[in-house]
Amino acid sequence: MVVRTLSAALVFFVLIGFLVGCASVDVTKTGKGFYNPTDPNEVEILLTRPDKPYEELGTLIVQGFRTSETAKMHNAIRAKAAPLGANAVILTSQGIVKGDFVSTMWAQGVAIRYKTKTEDTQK
Amino acid sequence: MDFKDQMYGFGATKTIACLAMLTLILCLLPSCAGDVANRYYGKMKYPPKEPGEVQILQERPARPYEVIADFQSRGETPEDMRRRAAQIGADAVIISRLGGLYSTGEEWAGSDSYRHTYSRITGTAIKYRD
Repeated sequence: MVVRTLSAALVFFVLIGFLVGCASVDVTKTGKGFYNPTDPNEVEILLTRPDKPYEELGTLIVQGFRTSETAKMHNAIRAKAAPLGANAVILTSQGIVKGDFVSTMWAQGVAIRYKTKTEDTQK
Repeated sequence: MDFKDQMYGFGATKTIACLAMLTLILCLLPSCAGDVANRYYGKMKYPPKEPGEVQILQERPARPYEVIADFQSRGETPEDMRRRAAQIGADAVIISRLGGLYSTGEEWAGSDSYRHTYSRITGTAIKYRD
């Protein structure tokens, strides 16, 4: 009985997960020190290196978005890069995972912060 | 169908349920730390402190400070970061919760209904300069 209940609960949560739609973002810090979070709305998504001097803060891997949801995936990257204090994320690679029913998209990038003179002295 | 047949019938389901329970139990264990990676920058060693003497901060303090170490790991809490900071004699540790789940139903970059979830926690250990 307990096993049945647990199995039903597991199936329920898996179904809810599919219906609600959940992606995941993994962030690894590579920089030194701490910066206050930035506004996610202002985080830039770049495909090339910017001309301005910058510092790398960390790497991001996002996965679980449908292939038609590229802009939503960019917003997820913005939302999860902002707590690191990022001004922009440079996307370094992207791909598609083909499933039986639904294909999903993944992307990897580097969160960066533009250098300012005042912040160089204290991180 | 006797009891043995029933057990065979539920074999796969049982395995899935047991794996789910095992994962849940493992994740609930307080010592579920993973990918623990620390860096120490201090030029000198400081005597350890009691964890209660170390401040937990969520943003940069206004007072001047020096960064002496960075911690990061999975499955830990701000209290774990504080304990680690106390071991190296830090005055405070600044916490960041990074990554986690993200709802594909979100439409605004500024909103994240899964903000409370995180896949990694970081702590920056600092010593005040004054």
